[in-house]
Amino acid sequence: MLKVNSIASDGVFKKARMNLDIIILPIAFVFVVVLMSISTSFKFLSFSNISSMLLQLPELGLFSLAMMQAMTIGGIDLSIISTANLSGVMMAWLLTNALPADASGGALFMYIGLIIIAGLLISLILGFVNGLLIAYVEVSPTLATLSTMILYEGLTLAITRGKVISGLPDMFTAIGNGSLLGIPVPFIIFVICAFVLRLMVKRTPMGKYQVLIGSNKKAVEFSGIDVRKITVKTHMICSFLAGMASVIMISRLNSANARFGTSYQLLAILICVLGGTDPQGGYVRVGGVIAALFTMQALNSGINILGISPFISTSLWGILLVSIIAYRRYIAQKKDKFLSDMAKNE
Amino acid sequence: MSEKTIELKNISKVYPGVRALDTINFEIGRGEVHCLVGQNGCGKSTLIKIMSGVEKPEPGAEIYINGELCKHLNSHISMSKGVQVIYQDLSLFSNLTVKENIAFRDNIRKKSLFVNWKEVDKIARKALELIDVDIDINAKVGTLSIAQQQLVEIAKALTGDLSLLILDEPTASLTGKEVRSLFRVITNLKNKGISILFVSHKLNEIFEIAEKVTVMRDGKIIGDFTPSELDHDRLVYLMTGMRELYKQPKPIGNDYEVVMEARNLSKNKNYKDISFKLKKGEILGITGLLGSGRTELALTLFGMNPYDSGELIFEGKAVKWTSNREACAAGVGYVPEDRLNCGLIMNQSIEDNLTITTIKSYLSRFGLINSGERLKALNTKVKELGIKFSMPEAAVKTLSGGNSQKVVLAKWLLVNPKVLILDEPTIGIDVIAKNSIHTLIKSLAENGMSIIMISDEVQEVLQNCHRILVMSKGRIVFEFTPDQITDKELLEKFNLA
Amino acid sequence: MKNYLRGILKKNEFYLFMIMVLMVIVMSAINPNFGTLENGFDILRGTTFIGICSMGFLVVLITGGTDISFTATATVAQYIMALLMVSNPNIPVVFVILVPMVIGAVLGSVNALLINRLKVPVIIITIAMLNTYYGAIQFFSEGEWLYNFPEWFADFPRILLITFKNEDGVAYGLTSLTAIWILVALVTSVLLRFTMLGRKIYALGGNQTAAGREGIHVNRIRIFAHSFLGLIAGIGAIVHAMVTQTAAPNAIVGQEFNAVAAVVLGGASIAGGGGSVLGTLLGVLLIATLKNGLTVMGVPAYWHQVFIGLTLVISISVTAIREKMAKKNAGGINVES
Repeated sequence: MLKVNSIASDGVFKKARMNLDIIILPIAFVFVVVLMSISTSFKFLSFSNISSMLLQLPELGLFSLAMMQAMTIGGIDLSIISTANLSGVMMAWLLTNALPADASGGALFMYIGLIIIAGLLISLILGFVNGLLIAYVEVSPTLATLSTMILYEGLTLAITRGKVISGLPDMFTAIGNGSLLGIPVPFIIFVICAFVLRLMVKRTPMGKYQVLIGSNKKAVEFSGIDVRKITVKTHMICSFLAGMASVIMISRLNSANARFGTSYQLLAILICVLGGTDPQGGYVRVGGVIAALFTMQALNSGINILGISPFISTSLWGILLVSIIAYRRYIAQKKDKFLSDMAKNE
Repeated sequence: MSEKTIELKNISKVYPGVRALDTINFEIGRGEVHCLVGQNGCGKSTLIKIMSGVEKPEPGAEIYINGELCKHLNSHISMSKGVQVIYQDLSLFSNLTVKENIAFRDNIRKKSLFVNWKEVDKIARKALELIDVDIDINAKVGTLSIAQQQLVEIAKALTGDLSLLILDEPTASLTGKEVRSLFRVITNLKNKGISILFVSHKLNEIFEIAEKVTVMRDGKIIGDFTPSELDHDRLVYLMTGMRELYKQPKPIGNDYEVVMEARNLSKNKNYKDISFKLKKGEILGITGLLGSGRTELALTLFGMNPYDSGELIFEGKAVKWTSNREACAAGVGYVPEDRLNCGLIMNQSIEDNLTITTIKSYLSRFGLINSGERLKALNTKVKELGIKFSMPEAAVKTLSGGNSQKVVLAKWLLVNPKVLILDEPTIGIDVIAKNSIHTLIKSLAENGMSIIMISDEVQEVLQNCHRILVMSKGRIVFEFTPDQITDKELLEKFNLA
Repeated sequence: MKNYLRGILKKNEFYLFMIMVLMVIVMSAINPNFGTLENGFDILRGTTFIGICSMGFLVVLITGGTDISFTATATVAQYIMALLMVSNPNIPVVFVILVPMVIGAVLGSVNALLINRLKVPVIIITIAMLNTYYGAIQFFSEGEWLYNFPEWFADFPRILLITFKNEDGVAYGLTSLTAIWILVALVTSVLLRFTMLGRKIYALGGNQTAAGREGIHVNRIRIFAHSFLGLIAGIGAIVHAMVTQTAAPNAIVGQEFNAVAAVVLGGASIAGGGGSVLGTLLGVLLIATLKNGLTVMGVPAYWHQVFIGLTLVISISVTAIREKMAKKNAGGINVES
């Protein structure tokens, strides 16, 4: 069989794809900021708006990073919001029922710290269940996380009896509303998480394994690597990030209930796909997801300021998601045509 | 009525990055049993796909079926004109019953709206009778053995109007008795004026049943021959364009210790009573038909297919591995037969594929990968094995068959295994790369590595192994050394098995 | 006969039926009000909407696909139908029936076209479309509830096909709406079992490559399956409006998972190629019975979802494990003994 010098062309395309993403996303971000600033008569650039964006962005960002983890190995996690709410509600319950009434200062700090750790542990367990179903029972990720989503939400409803838990201690809500050196605390938390995640994805064996598994699970299994264990760990990381998001979320809103943040799910998927993550697995770029995050947050905030109905924006996200997928597919087809044309001319 | 069942003129086909067929002219006469031979990747499958309408040739092609020019051939039309294909990866619906699978094409052809289950029953029984086979027509196809599924597939093909029956490696998992049945059916069909085209490289089949043989190489037709014009060496030369070099491996000392020993290993529906000893530095060959249990046994030795009974002893200790991680840790490596799906991750880089087994050994502080060390390991192996590529970041799918197989070998050599199991190591690889891999295998053995080589090709095991086991239907039926037997005798032994 | 009985034992539907019988016995023992015929008909009426939608969802699932946007499709269909009725009270019955069905079919085929073109995980596309349709209808409706439908629209659901009278002299029985559900189930069953189209649907779910080779137009079958789901969702929308006598933009979305749970419980494989109308019906009834039983036993409403969720997790696990076992025992070599 005559083989074209596809080595060079594949290399060219890999670089082109990477460059495309690296260039286009920041440009899109700048474009959105400019567009929004002009259309809102610069209200978009006001201090209150920017700080409000910086407060909302970490939650959305953590959910997006969580979804990114699930997508990297070729799956999906539809239960991230329910996971966040369940661990959030449990933390809120502990914060309003289990704290000794007279605790203050250092002791209070310790108790709150323990409760936060408990909440994160709960999200790890919820992620473990997801991983177990997907890796060991071998249920498809869609079905498994759909089912756990329903279960977790059900558990949350049962705990809250359908109501909202509020009245969290000030020291706790300071996390969501406070700032360190002028930067909102949630933003700092997000940056740390993003940094650590990027390090893991790019520079550790675990990160490498994830991408390889997303590309071809079987071949990785045949190379002597415990694919199932990595799948479980990945889902635990995913749910852990959702748990972090819920800490920020409930402290910011000073309340917890079963149905918070449901709009985050579509946005998280959109951000991942916009950021270059392949929903079928095997390709991930943390930087891309972050750039997409900023772009979408800016777009979302701008739309809010303009007074456009949130229903329209929901619709818009759906259309945007489909459009981006269509565009990526178009590019892939063009590449195939390019390579086959080259082959014809050999 | 035309004298030729099918006639192809000026057929070419291009895929992204690959020219699969290059100006082919091909024809099959009425009632002719025609054989198509060539190495993996020579274009046989593509040619068949074009004949059956599944793929469209490049513009300028002419296809005549029964004398009629077919301008826009698709699978529907070609089937209606009497061209039926039985693919190697069977076209069956495992979730449907045998009878429904057999009658399916018929129902589609009749464009019926409703299903007449009584008719389905009748059609299925008739088809199975034609090939003298007894299978429960109400069983779900997914529950049948591979050989049975193949027979269902053949029965299915017999339900329609047949001018040309195309079989892609049909006898791969059939027993001798079943092969006889098939040949009887083929002769039967031939006498009715139906043409048969089958793809095979088994010399005995070609000699027994084929009237004409077409040899392909690199997307071109090298020539048409009668079986009497061919013998093994000539066929290899025509298929590969080269002569195979060979050099027997250096014999191993008698006092070398036994590295791996199997005692009466058995696994239900896989193999039975497998016993052998593997010495240090020995190359043990396992050969036999596809479906004889070789790969199942290999996977057991690699820990991916735990055995039911018997004993497996590795370096003096009895082991019962349940995962390949245990086998790897003990020092066993496995190069899979299915390179594209099990051996390599095609869309990922050469670097990632090569270092996947050892990535944990290039860590610096904090558990981060030291890319310098990783690259060094990569370059060492690349030089050692002679792998040609443009850059480490390029995807493995850009490599030729030979080079990509070397990547698989490299990834296992990096862990320095004591036993390396090779499952069809040179399938689909050009002769130059093949020879270099054979040389590599022999030098590995000389340096103390034990090798188990599983291969379909009799010549390959005879020229590269110290000792050879022949498996059939899950058992070891014969054990010998290369000097004890010639390949002709071996082939005959195969068929009787 | 023995083989026939043994064959039944192997079927998933048999176990579901047994579980349901068991559940009814246990719950009736706890609360005698549960095991009455009247309660039975109540359960049927309450689950008619999900029961109808499940039929469509089953068909899509068998092809190996999935589509959770059908609740949004039903909402759009229902709302437009309601708008027509409110603005033209004398509108012919035929239109009221056809419009939601057509809208449903069209939206369903849009989904199928996108799925055919864009080779991404289907779930993502249907999540996107769910939000697109839902967002759009909420925006255009401005959240306004519609009511005051023509008299016949209110009278029809009250028709009883089989009537009983309870001790208070109130009539109960098989409602016309439940009869529609039974009709839909029958049509789906005939489609799947006796038409080539239905068999092609199974074939596609079983082995897409082989289906293409056998001359099955994969894309067309997919368009049919999703349009069918949309059409069924349209029928469900009509039924839902007849039960509630209103059209609200946010009443239906959120219930997709009841249909998913029912179909999965009924034994359909999410990978495609398997599933039956009977199994799905049993799944729907099981979940409805469970919910009703919990209510009758005094379990508060906010605990119901936990039970549904647990049932779902257990049933998908059981199905997955059984499929694994089946794969292990299948195929293999006829080892010479």
